[in-house]
Amino acid sequence: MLPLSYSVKSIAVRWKAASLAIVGISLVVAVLLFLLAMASGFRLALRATGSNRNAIVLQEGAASELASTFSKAAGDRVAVDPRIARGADGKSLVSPESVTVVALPRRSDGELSNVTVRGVTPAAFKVRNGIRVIAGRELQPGLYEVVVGRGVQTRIRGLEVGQRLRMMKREFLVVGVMDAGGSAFESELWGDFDDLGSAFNRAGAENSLTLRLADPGSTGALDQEFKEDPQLQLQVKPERQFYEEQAGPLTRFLRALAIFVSVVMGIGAVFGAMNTMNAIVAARSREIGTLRALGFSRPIVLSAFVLEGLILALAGGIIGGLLALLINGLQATTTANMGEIAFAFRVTPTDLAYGIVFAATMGVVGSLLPALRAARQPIVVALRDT
Amino acid sequence: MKFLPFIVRHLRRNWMRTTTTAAAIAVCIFLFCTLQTFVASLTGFLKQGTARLVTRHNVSLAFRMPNAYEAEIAGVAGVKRVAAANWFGGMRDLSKPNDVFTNFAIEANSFLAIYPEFILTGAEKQAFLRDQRGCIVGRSLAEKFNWRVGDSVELTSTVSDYRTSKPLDFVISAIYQTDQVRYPGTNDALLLFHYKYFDEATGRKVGVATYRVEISDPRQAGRISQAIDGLFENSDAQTHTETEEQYRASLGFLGGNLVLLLNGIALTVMFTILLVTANTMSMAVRERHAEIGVLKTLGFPSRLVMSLVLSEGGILGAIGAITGLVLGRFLIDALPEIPVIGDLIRSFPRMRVPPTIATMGVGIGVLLGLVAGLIPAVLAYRARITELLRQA
Repeated sequence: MLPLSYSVKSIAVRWKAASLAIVGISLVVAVLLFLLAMASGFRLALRATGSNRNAIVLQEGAASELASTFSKAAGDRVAVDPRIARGADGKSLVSPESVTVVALPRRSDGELSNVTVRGVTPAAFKVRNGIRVIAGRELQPGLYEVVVGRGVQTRIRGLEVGQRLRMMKREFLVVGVMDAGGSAFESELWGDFDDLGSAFNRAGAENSLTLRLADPGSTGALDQEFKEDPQLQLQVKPERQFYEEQAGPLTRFLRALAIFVSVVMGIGAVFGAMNTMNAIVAARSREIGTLRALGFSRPIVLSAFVLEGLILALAGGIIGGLLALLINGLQATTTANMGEIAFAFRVTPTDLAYGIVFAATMGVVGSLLPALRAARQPIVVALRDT
Repeated sequence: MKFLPFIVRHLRRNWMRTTTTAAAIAVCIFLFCTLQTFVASLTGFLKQGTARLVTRHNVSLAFRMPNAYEAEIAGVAGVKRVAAANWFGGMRDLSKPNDVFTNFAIEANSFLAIYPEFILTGAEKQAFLRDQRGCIVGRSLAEKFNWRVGDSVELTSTVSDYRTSKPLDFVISAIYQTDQVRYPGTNDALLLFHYKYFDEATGRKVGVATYRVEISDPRQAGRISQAIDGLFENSDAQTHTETEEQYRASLGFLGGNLVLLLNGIALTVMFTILLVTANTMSMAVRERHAEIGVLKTLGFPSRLVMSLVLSEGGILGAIGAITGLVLGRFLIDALPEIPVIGDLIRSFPRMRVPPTIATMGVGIGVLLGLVAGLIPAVLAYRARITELLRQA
């Protein structure tokens, strides 16, 4: 086996051609990771929105909260189920919620952007642990107040604490800003359930119930029972699964785009790497002949050159990964279920690993043919060639 | 021109390198053209209907306006036609979320007049207008579900207010055609049915989600929008009117930044081509130092030598680009078969790389080839004969 340093040194000799190949591969990896980071960021933001310990109740067949409506009576019947966990005050942990969308002007250009408005009761903050009011104060029912998510406050005009916001028939006072650990709730406005109901002429109608189960394992049984009960016709899903499904279409699109673009670009980069490796092999024809004459076998010569391609590609992969890390945390928004959701790009370790593996594949594929050419050369020809 | 054989011979000298470089350029140009075609469809879709406004409930699309607004909007000076259109969100089977397609309840007569991009023959249009349960579907949607004229379709809405005790049933009256040259980006995968049928089936209480308003003079869009919104300022349901372009952008994927994203990728693709070609060109010149020295010794002017190297790059770029386009011609037909990407592309159907983008693709190939040849060419231009010959 030829030492690793042989391959490294031989790249160093041809650093110009090598660096072009490295940059090419790193760009492909960077584009791949960029798109994957967008998909992962969106998925993680929505995933963080749901908790494993909670379940969400929707009208049967509804794919989103907006598409689901049921009466308060049905909601109340669910709320007394003994399988629901109870809080410190002995009340069952059930949060009836209403959801609608309101168009508000963006800070950047004044264009209207759709913001989700959620009607909640104090239970909403008990069922979901991660939500804290970080500025101003908490919501008081009956006073027509809203608390705004951290993310939506930075994007939308007129949502500072103390400002008034007109929604349909009522003016609401912004009393607080909430932090929800980067989840989709930070892209929402929360107001009192009854206040919003009367402002929007929707008194009594519930879009969803979020509840804490004493045993999260009972979700399936509840789902079955609620679906079969003709007076309910409701479905139950683990909250986390529900939000992950909401992320599905965009995540799938971005992943498919990532694969399509990076595979096609990757083929281009493989050809580029092949050129570089070919040049390296051609320039060292004599050296290869010498190695073979010294008794290094064909497989050893072959593996030395494949290794060289691999090193080139890994360097490209690492640079591409570093480039992608620059965008980690970048904010973006997208529309999901009519409301705009902000999320941050997340370059996850898994995605990074994909990038490196993809780079390595490009390197091996790109160097295989030139390496074969090197190994196959008859010694005499190789030595004669200058 | 007379040097063409000379250049071609050079390209053939290391045919393996030429092939791989051309192949690299080809796949990149293919990707570039595909992305640009998609971007063009997308922007075409966004820019459609400069003479159209959309009026919706002031709060958001989730709220609906009274049916009586239609007559009032029609009375505003400068308004030609008005049509109600509600996104129905209907699905054939609610338990199959991947089977989604877009369907609207429309006031057919005025809607089809406002939207000439949905093409029907006179007879087809009559058939649709006559049948209250009739619907029209786009060609690619019909192909996806294997629908023919006369087939019946049942839809259940995902919008809770639109949910009826049993699914709404429709009969396909016609399959509408689109003209992707005149109206690029027209959605070929819609199902449109009568608002009246929908309104009656839902008990005449759902109201109107959007009014599509055709105006006679696009320059008056601002004034007319204000006039419409002014009408309902003091009513329970205030309205928001904007141009269709603004309306479509507000519904966009990624906050309308998808175009930016795809253009960014296209730019990176171009840069990758440049790298690969530059690499090849510098290798080609490096191994020909002696030869360039000889050419110069024989009295060929440096300028000519430089342009020979440059045209070699350009020709290489052109070969790659044209291969890419030919390749793309076949591959683009296969794109709708790719999962997920295909679903999105299917709503921008009959994707053909338009001549402008094809020309641009070849242009970019040639240009990048020239740029890639530039540094080696200048080096060849500047290099002194003695150095060239000695290096060899």
